[in-house]
Amino acid sequence: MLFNSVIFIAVFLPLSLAGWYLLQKLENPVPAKLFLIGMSFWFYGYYNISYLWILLASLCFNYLVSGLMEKCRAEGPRRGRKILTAAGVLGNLGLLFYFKYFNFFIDNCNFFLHTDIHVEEIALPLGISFFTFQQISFLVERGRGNVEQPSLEDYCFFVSFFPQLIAGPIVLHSELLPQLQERRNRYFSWDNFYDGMTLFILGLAKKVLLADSLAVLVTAEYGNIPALDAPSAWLVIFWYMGELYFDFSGYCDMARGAAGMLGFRLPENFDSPFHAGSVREFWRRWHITLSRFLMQYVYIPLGGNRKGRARQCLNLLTVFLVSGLWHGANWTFVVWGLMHGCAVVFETLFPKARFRWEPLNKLVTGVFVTLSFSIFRSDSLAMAGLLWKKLFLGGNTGMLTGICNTLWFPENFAVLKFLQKAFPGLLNPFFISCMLLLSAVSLLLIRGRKAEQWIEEKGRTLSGSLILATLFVWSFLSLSRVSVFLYFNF
Amino acid sequence: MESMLKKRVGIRLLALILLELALAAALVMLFDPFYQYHGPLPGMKAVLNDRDNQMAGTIRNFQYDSLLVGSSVAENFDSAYLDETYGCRSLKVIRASGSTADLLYYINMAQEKHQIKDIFWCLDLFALDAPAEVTLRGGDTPLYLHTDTILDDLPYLFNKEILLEKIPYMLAYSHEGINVDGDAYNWSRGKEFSAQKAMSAYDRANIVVNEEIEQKDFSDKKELISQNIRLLTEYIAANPQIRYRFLIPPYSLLWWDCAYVNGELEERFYILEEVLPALLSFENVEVYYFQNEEEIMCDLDHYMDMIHYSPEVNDLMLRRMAAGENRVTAEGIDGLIAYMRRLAERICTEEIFRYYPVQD
Repeated sequence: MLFNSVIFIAVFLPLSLAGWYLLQKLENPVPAKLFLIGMSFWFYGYYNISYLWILLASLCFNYLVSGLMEKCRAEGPRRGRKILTAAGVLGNLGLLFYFKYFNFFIDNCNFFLHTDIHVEEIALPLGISFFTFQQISFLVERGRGNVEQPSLEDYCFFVSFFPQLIAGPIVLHSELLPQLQERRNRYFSWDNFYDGMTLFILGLAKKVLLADSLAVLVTAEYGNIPALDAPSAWLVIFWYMGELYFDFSGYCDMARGAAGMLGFRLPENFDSPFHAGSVREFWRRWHITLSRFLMQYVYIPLGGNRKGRARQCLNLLTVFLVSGLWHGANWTFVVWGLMHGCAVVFETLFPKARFRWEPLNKLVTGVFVTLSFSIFRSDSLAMAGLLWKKLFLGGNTGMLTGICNTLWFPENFAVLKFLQKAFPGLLNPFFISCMLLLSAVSLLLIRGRKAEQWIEEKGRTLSGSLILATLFVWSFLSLSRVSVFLYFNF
Repeated sequence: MESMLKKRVGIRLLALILLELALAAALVMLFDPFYQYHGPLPGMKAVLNDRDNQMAGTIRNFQYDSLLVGSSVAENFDSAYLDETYGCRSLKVIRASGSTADLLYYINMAQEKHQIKDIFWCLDLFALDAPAEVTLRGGDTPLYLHTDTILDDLPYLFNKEILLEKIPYMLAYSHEGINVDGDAYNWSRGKEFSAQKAMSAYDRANIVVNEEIEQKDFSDKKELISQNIRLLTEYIAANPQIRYRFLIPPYSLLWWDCAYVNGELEERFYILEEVLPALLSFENVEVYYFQNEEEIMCDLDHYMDMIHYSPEVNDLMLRRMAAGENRVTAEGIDGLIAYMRRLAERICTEEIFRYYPVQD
């Protein structure tokens, strides 16, 4: 199920809230937990019930491994726990490899080894990377003895909790399970509900009104790269960055908002990444919980910065290679990851190679990130290469006006129809004005305050409430054109 | 204190959201561009320009006693002419594919609340070998269009495309008199009808003059054809109080040639041979046949593709029908089919080459 859908907003979320808080009135907390687990399974299996079996299998496997660790711990052998941890991690990676990378692997075998192996296209279950990484972190911590074996319902709740299930954040057991035990989280609080609801509304607006509008331009032009010229190519890659930014930022806000309404705090996953003055800082602000995971479970186990500068650089490159592959099974993601890895290595080796004027560092970082994400968005390296050629050698063929003509929205429909009939000569200037307005609003919001800050400062005034209500209604009315979240496939 | 404040602003926010949502829904219910709740507002004309979305609503909520039924080739009929000529109040019932099952689904829906006295059915022969099941309640068609309850109307009531596109369109069209009255669903505005346009829709295989083309075996389709015809005849038998007038429209020579080139000509004749006697076995059925109108079919300037003709052809068909011309009788079927076989042969071996000269 999508957060940005009528079924979620009008049926699923109110039902979840009502059921969760009503069942909390019982002395025993288990029915409420079971109810929300059931709702999360419905949420996950809504579009494809077969995905649910994969989630359930993964849940059972990890809980079983964790249970065996408990047995090992009781009997004392430390080695047994290590073997179980390794087996558990391998099992999770195996599942991820099969569903996410097997086709990619076979394609590359065929290409490099000149084999002719045919396999069916394997459908990628939603959010598999997220719940797999989440469970890997749990098993590793269990193996280290840092966490007790939870009850089955608590474990299911931790993994399947719907606000974080399909696109993160990658929540640690130590962040969610204690909240589940807290008694005060069992009762409805206007504090939590208001904070969650407002954050959800702003996230919904970012996704539906901005990301989906920018997607109209981006989708049309990424399918038409050979026809782009330099100005349009530059705008298209910036629009894609904007689309991804609002898509992911909007999703994170909605996830945290939905969890907040239920009384839970999810970790922050997005912190104004374009305020970053370096690529290293960018990754402390963009997809924070993924960076944290990779730091804790890849970088540090590899030796981190404790084994000399050369090894540190190699570790950094490895982390970003893993990050690239985590985002998708395509060479474009590998190259994208390595670009970021190289940038971070450069910043590590030459920490003083920076401009004195901080805004310039932010600008350079922003442009670098945007350029790298243009590869991330491309279907293939060949297409990415063509796009980069257009960026620097594309000339100016006046393509930009043609691109802007795709900006037909219900919001400007009546004006467009009027101009088409009465003043056709003004159509192109109007389209360009729409594009400039969309770009300016996007830029202002990317450079502006965080959603929570705005809510804190303005949200509680009458005008703030009016803005929030209007954004919600406007977004809700836009859901007839439902789109998918970009981060679901990662 | 903080909690009290958040409770107050939270309730205010929820109230504002509900108010704005209610306002949006009220606007949609008031103008109701898909006519889900009522007919046109007083002082406004019904604007019918969105066939698939408006059909179910108009069938449920409009006042009429006759139906003009068919596919896209029937959309340009002036139904006001029928109303004047036959003293009825007609509603266009259109399904793009012309599917018999779908059209009967609509007709049955119409009969739930209306007494129907006349059905004018523009019968597409190609629709008679299409699936004989209703396809309207699946695929992309929103279910709310076909139900009476308001409970599943959320995507209609809370939809910015309805508010910002459909309602303004409706107001503008009503003001300008487009797609109103007998002009409902008329799509001919701005369309080009010419030989050049029609030919651009048909890429004729390079067939040499007098080359024999083997006709396909269509025995596997006979059951489907008879199912479709049975749907029609069973409906007619069950509703003898209705007067039926079937019009069989004139597709262009390209349609006949295409059938010939693809080896489907015999199948087309088989359909004709099956459907005409089946329909004419009822006393309350009249059939008007226009596929023998050489002057129309062989002049591609009347068409925009293989089958879609200009509104002038629609007008001509209605006038001829009103005058009792082009009517087929049970006794005339054999002669008509024999004539059509000769005409089809001439089209495919002579007439077509006026437009597609033989290549060396």
